[in-house]
Amino acid sequence: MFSLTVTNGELMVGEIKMTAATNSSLVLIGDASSIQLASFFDTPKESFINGPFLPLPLEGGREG
Amino acid sequence: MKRVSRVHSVLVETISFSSLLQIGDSMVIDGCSRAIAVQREKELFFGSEGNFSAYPVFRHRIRFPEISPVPLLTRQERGSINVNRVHVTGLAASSILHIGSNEQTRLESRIKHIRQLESEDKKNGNGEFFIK
Repeated sequence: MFSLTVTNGELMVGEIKMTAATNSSLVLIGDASSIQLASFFDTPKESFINGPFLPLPLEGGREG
Repeated sequence: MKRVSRVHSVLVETISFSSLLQIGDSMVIDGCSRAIAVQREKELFFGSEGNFSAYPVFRHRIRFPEISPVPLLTRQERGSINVNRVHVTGLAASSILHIGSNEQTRLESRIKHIRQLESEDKKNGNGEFFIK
């Protein structure tokens, strides 16, 4: 069994400048107990489709 | 025990697609973003296409590790977080700018990229495209 000691001191920041946060990102100015992030990104070679411009599978399925 | 956050000025130009600017403490945040990004060689888009369940990337289960409580001793020394200025051009797709403390955050992002290129024989032809 172990224990963890965290010492939070004073923190001074002049300026935070960022272009963007996207796709379930988190910018936190503060403390947190637990953060869990997951990201999937699928762009394999199979996702290049050569040929007639067919529509993707249609909505209809109504899931989610 | 968590610190106090002080931010003198905040400027966020755009918040879109279920993104969040949170000022103040929070307990539980649970966010999710899904996208099918289609790029076609020609500007051709159909109204109702795109079905998440057709692609495995949206079906994979995520196994987050269990949050086991670790004996935690937090000491505060004049604890406060001070930021003078925050400038963000954009927040998009379930992202969060959070000023203040948080207990538990869980975020998920899934993106499927698809690129459709014109077939060679069509390119050399009269430039017409096959539309179903």
